[in-house]
Amino acid sequence: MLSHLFICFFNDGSFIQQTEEDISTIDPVRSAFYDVAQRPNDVVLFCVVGNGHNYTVDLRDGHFEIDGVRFDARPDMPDDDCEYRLIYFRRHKQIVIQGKDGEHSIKYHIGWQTTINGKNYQQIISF
Amino acid sequence: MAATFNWCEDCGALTSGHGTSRSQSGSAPANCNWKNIDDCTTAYSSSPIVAGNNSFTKYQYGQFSGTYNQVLNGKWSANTNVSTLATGLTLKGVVTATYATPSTTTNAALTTDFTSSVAIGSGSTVLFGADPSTAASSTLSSGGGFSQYLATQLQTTSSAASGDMASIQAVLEYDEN
Repeated sequence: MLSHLFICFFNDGSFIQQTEEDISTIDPVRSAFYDVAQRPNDVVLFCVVGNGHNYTVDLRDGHFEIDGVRFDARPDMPDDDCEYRLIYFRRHKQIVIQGKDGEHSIKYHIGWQTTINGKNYQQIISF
Repeated sequence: MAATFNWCEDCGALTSGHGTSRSQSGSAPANCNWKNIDDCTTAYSSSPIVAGNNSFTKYQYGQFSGTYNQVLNGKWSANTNVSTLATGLTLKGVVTATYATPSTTTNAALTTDFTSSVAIGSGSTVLFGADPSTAASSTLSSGGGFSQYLATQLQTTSSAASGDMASIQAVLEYDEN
């Protein structure tokens, strides 16, 4: 079961909301993020909500918000106008301990990447 | 639902690129310790490794099913928690699509030394595919699949102390969306 679910807003006012079933409406053997990935240039806001907190990346200017508190987190990069592309994934650690039961941990990651003068820059927050 | 993960293990003679005995989803391996028998069921205490000998090489791997967009960025380390194994113990491993009939002979194909802890961030790259023996892609798309084999062997010398060794934590890390 997913502890955090996303809602993705597009520049035409539409949105995609992930459910616990996490099934794509375009291709039912894939996850809901597949639908987001079909419109990478239209994403405006990407929010992940769970455990009483919400985490947002705004692709219009690259800023982040945690529980409504806004902050910028930029690497050392030119201050040019740029297009921010969404990054979203869950990082799993499947742990097997010899002689004991295995364990599993998940960390959520959201952020952006952009390309300036051929160089890739990215910023990610994880929780 | 997201992707569902299961630990798996192949044992037995090489056949069609994999082991004759395959413990996958529905028949998960029951005992994943290094030991002096080529199976994933016998308790290690029933088949201990005598000092100066090696374990049978173990071929573990991950199985993915369920709904997901992509599984990618696979990494693996056979030892992320024990700074250095005790005297006389060496843990060797490799990520590979090549299965060989397990034996206690020192396995020269296991080229990475995990005797000292290797943080998962510095772990070995893991590829994915329709079978561990054919896995060659950095991403796994919908429809399910497997990681490469995560092969390990515990090698000992006569100076190894008797009794249980420190518990070792092996980690398979991957991203999913």
